[in-house]
Amino acid sequence: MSMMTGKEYEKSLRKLHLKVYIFGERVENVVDNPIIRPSMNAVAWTYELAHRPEYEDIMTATSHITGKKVNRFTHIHQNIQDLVKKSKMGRLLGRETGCCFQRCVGMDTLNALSIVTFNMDAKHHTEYYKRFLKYLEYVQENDLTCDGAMTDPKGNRSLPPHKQPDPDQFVHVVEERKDGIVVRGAKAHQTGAVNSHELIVMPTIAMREEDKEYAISFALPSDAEGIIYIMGRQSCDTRKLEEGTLDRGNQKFGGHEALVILDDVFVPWERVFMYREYEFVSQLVEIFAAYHRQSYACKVGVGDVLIGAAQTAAEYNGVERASHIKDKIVEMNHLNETLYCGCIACASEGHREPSGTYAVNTLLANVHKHNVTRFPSELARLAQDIAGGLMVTMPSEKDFRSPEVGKWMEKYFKANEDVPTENRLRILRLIENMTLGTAAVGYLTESIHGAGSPQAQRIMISRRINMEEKKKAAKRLCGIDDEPK
Amino acid sequence: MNRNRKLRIGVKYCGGCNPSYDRVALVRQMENALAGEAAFVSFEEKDLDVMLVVCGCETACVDISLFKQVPIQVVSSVSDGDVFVAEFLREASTGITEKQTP
Repeated sequence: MSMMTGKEYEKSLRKLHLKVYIFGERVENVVDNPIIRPSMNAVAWTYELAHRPEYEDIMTATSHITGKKVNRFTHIHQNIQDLVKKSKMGRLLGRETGCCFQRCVGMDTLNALSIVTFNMDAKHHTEYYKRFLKYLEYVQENDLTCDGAMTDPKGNRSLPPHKQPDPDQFVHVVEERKDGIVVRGAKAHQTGAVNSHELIVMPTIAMREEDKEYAISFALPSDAEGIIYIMGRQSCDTRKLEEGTLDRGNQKFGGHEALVILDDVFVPWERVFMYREYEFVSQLVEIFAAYHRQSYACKVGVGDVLIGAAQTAAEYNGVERASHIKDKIVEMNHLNETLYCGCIACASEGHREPSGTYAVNTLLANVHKHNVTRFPSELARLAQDIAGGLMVTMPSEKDFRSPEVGKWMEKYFKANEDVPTENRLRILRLIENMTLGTAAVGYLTESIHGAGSPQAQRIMISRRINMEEKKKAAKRLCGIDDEPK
Repeated sequence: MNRNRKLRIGVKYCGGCNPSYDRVALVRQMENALAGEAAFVSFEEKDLDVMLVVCGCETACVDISLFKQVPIQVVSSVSDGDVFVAEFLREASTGITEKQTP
């Protein structure tokens, strides 16, 4: 099988038998569920663009194991250029969809495992890397979407996994069999989970020997027996159930998160990539986190959309020439391009790992993600400032279409006489969607907590900075010579 | 170069991460301007007379080292496209430019 198109991807999802719940009820048709559907559209777009000549240079790569053309989301980075293209792909897809397109987490998981399974084999003479490469070929050949599942519920945060009153707060092994293991636990905040063909589980925090039953990584088909998905809510999500589409803001795309339950799920040995090697857990977590922090390049693309929406709103309102509006647009661009600098820098300063995989610069990836925890909030504030209060006070589309009151909205929400009132409402609804509606989940709160909360990045920055060299530089310039002779 | 047939121009796009103009619209416009003179085909096709590398910005990040077999022309703006068309039409009777843009 070669790379799937968007349609083929959708068809492939229809063959899955996922156990998905939303609003307390089992979802029989996941693909066509109106709440979920926009998120499926966003993932489908990652397939569709790979087939378009004007995007393929970014969206595709050549597999290092088969030599075939593959979707970049299944590729293992072979050089710096691959890392740079990954950042550019994030911006491209963020701008194309205006939301989280969900597929980066699987790519980051595959790349992290390609490094760590190799390193584990080098130390323990295990065969994880061989298993991993076989699995990778399966993923590439079938062009699969993988959910990289890291975040455990974690229970009492002050306690390590083995001391939790409820042992299921971290995914762990409950039974070892001749042919594999049985696992139990859950993964929270799983982006794109029900749009995935595969679920790849990793541990979530550094572990000691006492936690070795929790030091596991494995892959499962997303519809394996015992996996249950409970969909997360998003503000304004039920607007997708309404008759019209104007009030959704984004007409086609969206994201989703789910709580994923592993209720005694069997994993065959050939799909196990780590089992009790607790000393490699922190390496896996850190490498995955660095890749995933780079992946927040997508917010630059989403920022492009928000800036475009703010400028359009200003023009529709007739205020685009006001100096303070121009200045706010400049500030938005400054913030957004600063984010872009970070994701390009951490890729350009990447390096080769022993497995041959290229990894991003950890310090710069953390700096980039730390900026992402802050700048989108400011971009959103500026967009709301420029848009004006109507974005949160205007009546519904149903009122706008109403024969009784629609004419009053048409009359009193008219601003620039060259612009249809409906267009003004549409651009304001898009800004609402991105800054406090369904897409704000991805653009704002996920920007803060996704791939690790701000404090996680500060810890990594403090660990990775070359402080001694900075001190030496300062001392040298002011004449301090306290180096041991 | 076979001058008894339409010239075959292979089109290779950059990935389009943040283009400053509509690359596809530009190529369509060039195709219309050169209708009858040249055929625009995929860069992966054989027997190309020239490779047109269409980049969305002046970074022009496409790896052109892969296209050593044919003359390469890089365009990274609408005006670059206009220049390409004008030069192509001017040189149509004598043969296409073999100037390579790095």
